[in-house]
Amino acid sequence: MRRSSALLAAVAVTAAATACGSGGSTHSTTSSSSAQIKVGMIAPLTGPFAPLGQGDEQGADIAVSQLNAAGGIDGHKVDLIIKDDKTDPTQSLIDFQALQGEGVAAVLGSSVSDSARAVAPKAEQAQIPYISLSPVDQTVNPVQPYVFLVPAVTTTYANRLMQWFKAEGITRIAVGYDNTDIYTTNGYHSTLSQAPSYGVKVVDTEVFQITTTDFSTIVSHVAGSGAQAFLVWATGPAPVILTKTFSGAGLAAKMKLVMTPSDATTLYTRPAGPAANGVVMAAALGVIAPQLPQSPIKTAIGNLATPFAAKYGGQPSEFAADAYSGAELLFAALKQAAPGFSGSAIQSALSHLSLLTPDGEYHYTQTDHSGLTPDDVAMVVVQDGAFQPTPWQKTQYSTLPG
Amino acid sequence: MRAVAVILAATVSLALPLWLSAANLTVYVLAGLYAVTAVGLSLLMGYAGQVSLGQAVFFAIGAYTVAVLSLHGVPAAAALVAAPVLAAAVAAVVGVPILRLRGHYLAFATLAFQLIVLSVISNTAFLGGGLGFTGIPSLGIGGAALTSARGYAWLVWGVTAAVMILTRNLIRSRPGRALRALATSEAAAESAGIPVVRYKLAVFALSAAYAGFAGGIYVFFIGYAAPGAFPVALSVELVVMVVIFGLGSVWGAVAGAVGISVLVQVLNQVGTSPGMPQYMPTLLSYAAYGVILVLIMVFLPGGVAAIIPPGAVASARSFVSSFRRRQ
Repeated sequence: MRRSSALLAAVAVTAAATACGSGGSTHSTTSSSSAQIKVGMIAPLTGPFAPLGQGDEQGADIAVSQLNAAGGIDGHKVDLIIKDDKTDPTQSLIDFQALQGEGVAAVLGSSVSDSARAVAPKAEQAQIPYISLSPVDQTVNPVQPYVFLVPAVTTTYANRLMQWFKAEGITRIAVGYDNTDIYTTNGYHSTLSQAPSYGVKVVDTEVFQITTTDFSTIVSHVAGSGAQAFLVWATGPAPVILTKTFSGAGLAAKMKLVMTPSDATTLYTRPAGPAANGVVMAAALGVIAPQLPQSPIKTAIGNLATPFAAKYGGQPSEFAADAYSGAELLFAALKQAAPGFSGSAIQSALSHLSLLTPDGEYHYTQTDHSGLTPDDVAMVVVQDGAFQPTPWQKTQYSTLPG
Repeated sequence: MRAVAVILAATVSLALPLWLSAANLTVYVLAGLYAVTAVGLSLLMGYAGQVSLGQAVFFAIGAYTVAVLSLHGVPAAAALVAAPVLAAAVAAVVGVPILRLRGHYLAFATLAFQLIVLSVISNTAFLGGGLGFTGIPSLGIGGAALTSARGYAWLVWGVTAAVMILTRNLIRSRPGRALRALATSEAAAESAGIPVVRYKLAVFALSAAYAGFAGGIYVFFIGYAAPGAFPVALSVELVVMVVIFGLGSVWGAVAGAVGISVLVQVLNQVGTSPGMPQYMPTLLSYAAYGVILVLIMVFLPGGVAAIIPPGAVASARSFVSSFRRRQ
């Protein structure tokens, strides 16, 4: 038994080598045409965050189809190579090296923060432009020359929220956040740092976890805090339960419940039901696209929404919108980097790029690799399960991007 | 015969890094790290008869030890020595209460321990919180730094060989025999004068040390540590690696680590190859992977090694001995 396993181990190692050898060369043989530009994408197609990866893949797929149908870049078609990282940062690194081995010009990163945190430094080291689809402020602060961010940073969201609080005369707020998540924790700290300059005071802080199911204590704290609004940075089921508890306690009549873009989705509004009526949110402009006046941004959103509805049905998720916008940013930079498409040429083009996408109007500079401004964020309100612009948002249409 | 196989395996392992691509080299390094961890787990499960569904936590403890120490300027070699020591120390402490449990209860306790540790890390700023650490320096000793994947491959597989030899000698020693006895029947072992509790704890600590050492090298190699990099899924995968080629075999654990690592990569590669429908990655990584594991468990409860017909081994042996005679 032991002897046979010794032999077998040797066989397994050899088999492994054969499998690795053949596996690594699959893509390069199918896409070795010189008229193609290879672009890599790392996405969580399987694992806990597979729904995000599905959006990543759909958005990028539509952008690539549109580009190639229009003739590509400088006569070159774009070949998008998608790798599944299984929602595992270690696999993301293997994927990145595989993409590097296949000679991709740039990489569209995963929408999962662990993956972005693991891969971005390696991309920087390899001088391969990395377009991150994960909303982590630390990705672009401090700036890494080859790393660019597509989703807005929490400082941008917090800034828009403060503009709205100020316009509504809200000066005392309670803040709740999920301390197990990077996005929500960053959001809390951004709120604290932006509030003073808008005359807003944080009178109560409530901490919970993504798994919290009982919000009655938190809601009663907030009720007694004297706050005029309760700003909640959360994602997943927790904000739904919180909304129902808040509404059940009759607080909706006394103060505003305010949420952030991670909840501006039917994944929140459907389970929350009527309890979500009147909840105010910062969100991407795309969620109120039908209500926007005719404008360049409305057209840009339609460029994604129309083919998306035809191909996949329904509205594109925020992840699809991020991936589509990220791909458009990359393609614009690739056009400027033709015909060499070197990493440094793409990096240099991205560092001076201004572009209108469904996510808003980006202005990347050498010191700003986030590129979006508070004007790219809409303040919306939930009404009967749908998103409507707040009255204040309607007064802001003169500053719509584009 | 055995020597020939060992020399062949060693030669192949050392030669592979020379022609693997960068991505496959990374898979190879990781497979080696999982092999080291799996050998420890195999010792714990196969010889001491204890189950751990949280072995990745010791991998994580080793990784975090190296990350924190090297980011605070501690020399790499010292950090790498501290990794298995701390992992073993933690195992020795938590082992006192949880090794009193058996079977499923022990499995759940180890699983819970991993979840608790990951949660504590996520909420401790000193340990990088949920964001984790990036920019961890490469393994450097004196003025030289190990940066190439090929260098790590040789280091890791050298460590794997050392761990295999150490484990093999341990199994053949007097404590090794005692371990096998306690796996069969704790009561019988105890009545034969074997200090059961102390031995169980020692094996648990040793398996944690292997995992901690592997985790330490992992962090130098990857340059990144965050709670998300050490999920419960990794613990489960380690158990699969240990079981699939037959429990209680050092070679089996190594072959399992390599086999599962390669299987996962091949399924991943096939699922995302051009022209595949969008559901293919999901189908392959859950359904195909699951079906393969279930089939092995159903038809080969003794592990994959059981399919090698005894005749094949005998004829190979006679072939080798006839070759020797001719010389």
